[in-house]
Amino acid sequence: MSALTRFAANKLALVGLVVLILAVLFVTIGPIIHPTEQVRTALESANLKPGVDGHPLGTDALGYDVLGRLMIGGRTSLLVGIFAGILATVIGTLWGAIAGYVGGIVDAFMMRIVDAGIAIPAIFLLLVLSSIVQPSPLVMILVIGFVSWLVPARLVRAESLSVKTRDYVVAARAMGGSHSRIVVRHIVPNTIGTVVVNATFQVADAILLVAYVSFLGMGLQPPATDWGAMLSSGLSLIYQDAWWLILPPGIAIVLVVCALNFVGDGLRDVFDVKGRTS
Amino acid sequence: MTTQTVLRIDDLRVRFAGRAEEAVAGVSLDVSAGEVVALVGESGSGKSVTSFSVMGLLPGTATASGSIRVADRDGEREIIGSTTAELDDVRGRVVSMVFQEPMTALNPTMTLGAQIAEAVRNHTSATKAEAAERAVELMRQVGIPDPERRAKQFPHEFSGGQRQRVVIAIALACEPRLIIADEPTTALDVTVQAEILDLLRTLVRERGVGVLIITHNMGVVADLADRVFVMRHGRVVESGPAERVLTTPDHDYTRTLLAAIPELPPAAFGGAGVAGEAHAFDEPANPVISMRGVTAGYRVSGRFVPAVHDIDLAVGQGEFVGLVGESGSGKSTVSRLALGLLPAHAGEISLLGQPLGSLRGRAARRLLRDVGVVFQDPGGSLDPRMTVGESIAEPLAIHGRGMSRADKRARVAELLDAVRLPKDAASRYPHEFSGGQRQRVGLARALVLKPRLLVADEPTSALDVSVQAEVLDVLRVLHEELEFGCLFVSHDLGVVNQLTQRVVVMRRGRIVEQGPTSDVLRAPRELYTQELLASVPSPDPVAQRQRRAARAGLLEK
Amino acid sequence: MSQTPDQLPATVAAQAAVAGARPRRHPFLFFLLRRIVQAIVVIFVVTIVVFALLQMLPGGPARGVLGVQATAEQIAQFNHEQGYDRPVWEQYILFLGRLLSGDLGQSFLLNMSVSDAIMQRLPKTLLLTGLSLVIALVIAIPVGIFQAVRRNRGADYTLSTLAIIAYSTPSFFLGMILIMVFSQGLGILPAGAPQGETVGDVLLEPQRMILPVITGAIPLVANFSRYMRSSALDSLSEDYIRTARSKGTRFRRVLSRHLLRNSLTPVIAMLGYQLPVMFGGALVIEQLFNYPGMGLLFWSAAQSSDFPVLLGCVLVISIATVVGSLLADIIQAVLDPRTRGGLA
Repeated sequence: MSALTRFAANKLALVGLVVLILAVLFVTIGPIIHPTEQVRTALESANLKPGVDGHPLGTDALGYDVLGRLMIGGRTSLLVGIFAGILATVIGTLWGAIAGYVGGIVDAFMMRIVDAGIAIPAIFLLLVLSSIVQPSPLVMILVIGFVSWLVPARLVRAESLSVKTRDYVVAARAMGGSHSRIVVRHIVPNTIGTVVVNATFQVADAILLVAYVSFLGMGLQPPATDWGAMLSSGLSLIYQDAWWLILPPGIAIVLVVCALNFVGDGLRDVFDVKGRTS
Repeated sequence: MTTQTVLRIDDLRVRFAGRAEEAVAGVSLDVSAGEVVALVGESGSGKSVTSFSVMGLLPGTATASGSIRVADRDGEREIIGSTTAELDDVRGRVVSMVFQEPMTALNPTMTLGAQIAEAVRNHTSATKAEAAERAVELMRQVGIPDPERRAKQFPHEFSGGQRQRVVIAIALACEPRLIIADEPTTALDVTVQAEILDLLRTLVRERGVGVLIITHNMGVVADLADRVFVMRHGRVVESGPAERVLTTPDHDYTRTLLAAIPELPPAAFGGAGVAGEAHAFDEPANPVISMRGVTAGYRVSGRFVPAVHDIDLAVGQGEFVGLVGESGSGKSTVSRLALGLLPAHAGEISLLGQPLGSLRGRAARRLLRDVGVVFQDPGGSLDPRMTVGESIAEPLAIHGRGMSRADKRARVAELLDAVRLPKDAASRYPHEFSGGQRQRVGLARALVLKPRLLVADEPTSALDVSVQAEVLDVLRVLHEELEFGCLFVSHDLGVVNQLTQRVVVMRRGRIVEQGPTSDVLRAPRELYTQELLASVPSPDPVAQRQRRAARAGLLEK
Repeated sequence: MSQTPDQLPATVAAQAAVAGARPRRHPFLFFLLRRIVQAIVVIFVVTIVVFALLQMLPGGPARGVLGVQATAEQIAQFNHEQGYDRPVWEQYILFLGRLLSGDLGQSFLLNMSVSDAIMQRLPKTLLLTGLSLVIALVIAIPVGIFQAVRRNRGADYTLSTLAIIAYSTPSFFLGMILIMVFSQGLGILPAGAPQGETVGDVLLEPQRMILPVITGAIPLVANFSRYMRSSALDSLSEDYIRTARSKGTRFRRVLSRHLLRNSLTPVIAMLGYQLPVMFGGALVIEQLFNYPGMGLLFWSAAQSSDFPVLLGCVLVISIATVVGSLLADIIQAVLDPRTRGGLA
């Protein structure tokens, strides 16, 4: 069974992939099809219900069109999430691979650092960093990436350790293969499955983290926005039953993160990777 | 069904969902009280599936038809079609099972006494205390010393042989009429195997229980069984009294199976008179590998645990040297030392004339150009993401500078031919091949650079006996042709007897005895070697009886 | 070329454990000691990280307290008083010294020491997290086992999908929906958390705890049930399950006596990793429901740049996670006798 067939066999993974493609289209092409004013406020048309005045999802407290905001905010959420997730995977993979292959004292030292990093709850660290540095999308990518690389590091180290002890690696050493050859020809191809699967889950987690940070008010400043910030502003109106401010961004987050999780599971089948996610 | 028959299988058919062929295609057999019936076959013959069917332990994907009847107190019970509750009642009380892997058959977080007591309390109204007492009693009966204390211990504190005894105790707990033993000694050392077989024989004699033993080892059959059924591709091809089937088989398959078994030296101990003296042999002049006074070991959570002590051995150009020992003997450590995968803690190792300890990095790797290695596990020794051709060509890629692609392809084709594999195998992946074929690929890879030394670490231990014969034949032919020195590590004395010119016997990290194969195996001087030889069962029942007697005599010493 | 191979022959490891080159006395104590030492090392690294963050504060904490109009002299005096003008390593030693004596500094904006503020709030956060955890485990463990036993059938797929959806939902969104449904819509549960000083006060209004605890518990159930399912599946395919069945043990009892204990170990290990996530989640829940715990304290401090409080919270919560993991490891050792021997 080829890789694509195996992926397609997992129905949920297929659905996830479709949802992701639609989401990307929504945030990139959406604003072109449905252009709205997202910088200047329009207080006179604040808090309109959906369907009023050509606003399919209503407006928020500053008069911004919610649907348009959803699209623009989505750009930030997805962009930061994807790049932060990839950054975390790259750092974590390198760290874990080196620790796992070299072993010994180096491994112990590297892993104690990872342990310490994991001990500090990510959100706490993120808030502290956000109060020190002014958050822009780039800063958020770097900050989230640097907080999230710990888990992939653990995972890749474990994989790397397990592959290192396989007979074919021992055989390659007995044949006189150099370390670089073994890593490139044997270890990387056999761990790449775990890395790719984990990258998908990292992006999912990063999108969630962005939402958390923005919700807590430490993310981007208006008029820039993302889905988490939309939920944060929606919170103040929760007692006015302004559901159109709350449900769309929330559901958007759930859909995209869910889709990524399903795709990750599908990829796991493709690469025949065993084991758990985080 | 007479009052003596404890098991009768009639036309059993088992099919797994999604497979076209039946795993078991119409098997009939019977077992009487006080007799041992062996069910023999190679992998894929359906023998294990048959045994699991009797216990009703087939997975949900299997459908069984036919009839399996076991004798109960008040008549007989039909297994096929029984409900779960009925099976729960039968299992342990009427039929019980001993499994192959003692290391994993017991719950690691439960004391052994509790696990035996569980069997007792499943079927009797014994109290916790009574069951615990019975558990201790059973442990004593299966030969575990100091049972009161040991019943409170956990499985990881016991050796493999002792764990198997506990599994047997569990099987006996409710005094069943029938015990099924599925490859009960395959995972054990040969001396431990002999002990377990003794135990089983005693239990059958004393309790009159019927035993159905599943095995691929004809020696075990010769030692223990009264009658034997030979299976192949889900069918019984031959059956009858063990002595008759093993000495004068009717069916071609049985004949081939018996012929493939490497011949054992007789258990005669002419050398006993000069115990302690070393055998005389010629030290090789220019050894491809030599070890002098080598001690080595591993780091286990920070401490150094020695695995081998004071090893003196050498392999000459073109010599075939066997290294035998049981688990814990240190033989795999020696093979790693020979490959430079483990540093020597003390002593000298010289590989192809160069001292190993002093070489580093590239120089050391270049030396390995002339060394080939074959491992035990056919599944793990080939990178699943590389084609067979790429795997075989790997030594060429590492060492063969200046070889064109075409040359490399030609060489790979040459070797595939030499190991009797089709040319198109080069573009296929390891998982498309059987275990024996994969081992031959491993051999091709080891020999692609025409090495002067081949280290073979239990290369056929995981293979069926007929497949093993073919792989060893290929090895022998190539050895004659290429004249490499070979260090052949094995626990199988028959194979070593057949293949090697010199043999080294190891035990607990030390060399016990060393010398020409014919000398050491026919006239061993050390007690351990004698015991080892006597413990290996021979597929000839008459010869096996003699071996048993010889072993009993040894143990009395 | 000299390298120690990494896979010990099973026999060597067994020898070292069973017969033992030098048998260890009290292996469990040794294991405990090693884990405690590891925990202390981790805590040290955490203090270094916190100290580094301290150094990263923009313009120094001086500006944060004295304001933008502060003159250079005022800043210099402030720095000298607080000890911020000494060499870095000296500052670190002073910092450690202060930590060990329980001094986490003075809050810039609240009128109390950081340690007092935290001690007032920490127990309440622990209560919230603890309740969520207990409820989550009580639900997740049986669900996980159920899913493993009914693998790949309808109920299993549904539950797995539900778990993924729950896992993908930010807890604040979940909380908001619960508020909208149960508070606004049905009006049966209050949306605000109890505002007590002590744990006792908080418990006087249990109905106010319901929504926060459930919001915290649901993501935990999602996670733990997945791990439990995975672990139970692994255990189900083990040989000793087959041995138990062959003795005639009823399936129910096989599950409770053999499967449960052996599958719990990986889940307990995972608990250690989940603690930081749980505390992070508590932060959001406290903010959403206005629960007077450490998370809310931290959030307000972040809004107002009250750095001593921020850093103090980070330190305390990290130590709480390390201690929690240590406890989880100890429970694991109690459950599994093999770990007591100190193997790996």
